[in-house]
Amino acid sequence: MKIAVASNGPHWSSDVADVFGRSPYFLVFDEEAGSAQVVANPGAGITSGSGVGAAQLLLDHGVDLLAAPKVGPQAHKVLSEGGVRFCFCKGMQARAALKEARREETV
Amino acid sequence: MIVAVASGKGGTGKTTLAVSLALAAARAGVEPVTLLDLDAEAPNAALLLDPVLEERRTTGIPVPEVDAVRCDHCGECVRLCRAHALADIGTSVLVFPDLCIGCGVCTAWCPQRAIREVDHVLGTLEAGRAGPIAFAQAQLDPGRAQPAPLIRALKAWKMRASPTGLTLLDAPPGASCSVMEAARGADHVLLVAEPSVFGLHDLGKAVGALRDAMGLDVSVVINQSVGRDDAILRFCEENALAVRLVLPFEREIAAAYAEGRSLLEVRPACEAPLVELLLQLRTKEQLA
Repeated sequence: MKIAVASNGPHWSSDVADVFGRSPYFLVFDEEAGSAQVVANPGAGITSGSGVGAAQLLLDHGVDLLAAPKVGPQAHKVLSEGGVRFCFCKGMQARAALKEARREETV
Repeated sequence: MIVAVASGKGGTGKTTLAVSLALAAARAGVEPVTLLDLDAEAPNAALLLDPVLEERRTTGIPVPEVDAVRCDHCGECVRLCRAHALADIGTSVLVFPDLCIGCGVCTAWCPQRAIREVDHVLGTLEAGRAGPIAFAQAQLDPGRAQPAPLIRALKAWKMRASPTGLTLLDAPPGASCSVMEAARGADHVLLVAEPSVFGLHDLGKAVGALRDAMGLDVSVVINQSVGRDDAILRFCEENALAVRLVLPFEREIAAAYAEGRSLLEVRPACEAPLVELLLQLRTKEQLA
């Protein structure tokens, strides 16, 4: 399973981003491989369509679970129809969000 | 001559000025005079002009529709779409018409020819006359997010460059792409500014978009002046902006506007300075 965390910075000590589509980075943790990847979001600064673009980016990376704050309606449609599950998280470090997502997933 | 009236801040008097210029020009014998209300989200020049609208058409943009059988999910359309209006979830391609800009690239480029275009209606265009003035307006449907294609369509339909005539483009407020779309092709832009901190701030943004980014000929009309215009006059001087006219703030003018009556109805004396303003612009054009 691959878990993505919407993050303000490229480190696990970075804070979780405020808005999914404009998240500057996605930190992707691959449980099977036990490895992590930093994915920069090229649409972080665009005025419109960032949510759909970011959702497509995560689908292209084979993400199964997303830990993020507010996800807009269009991005939500892409992610949920693309089979991605959500874990709502806010106001914490990316590391804590990953832990939270993994814990929720095993409950 | 094509003159766009824009502002930055809303409520500074764009429509008041555009309508008054149209009326003054028509009375001075300019022919033809055309006024296009391009504030597609809230067109209200018709409230002052009271035109008879005889023509009406709906307008939209072509958006993609993906044939699920033909599509092999190569992802080319998603990669090409700079509006992010498409997403490929593997089992189907999702289309977001409110993000689409109708450029047609996905349809033209699809290797499987699996995309056709369907019309996504954005709003209505209407045209008619108010006495000697040809009038047209664009109206965006509620909930729609893209006024720019409607603005473009109205201009393509009714804007004609005439060496003797006058076409006025009443732009939306702000400094975004819809304002730029409205002002595109204008020989001159008049920015209506009110002498408040808000008016000054937004005037700067409009100058940035229309003059600095687009290279249009921009000058300023100060409206709602109570005689304390120092800050705005200084700004105009520092930024090499000609101030073409100063209109006063008067309760009577505001009251007439609130009743949908034009400036010239309550202040017929404004007619001469408005004609003079148009002559200044024309002279500038001939010198250029």
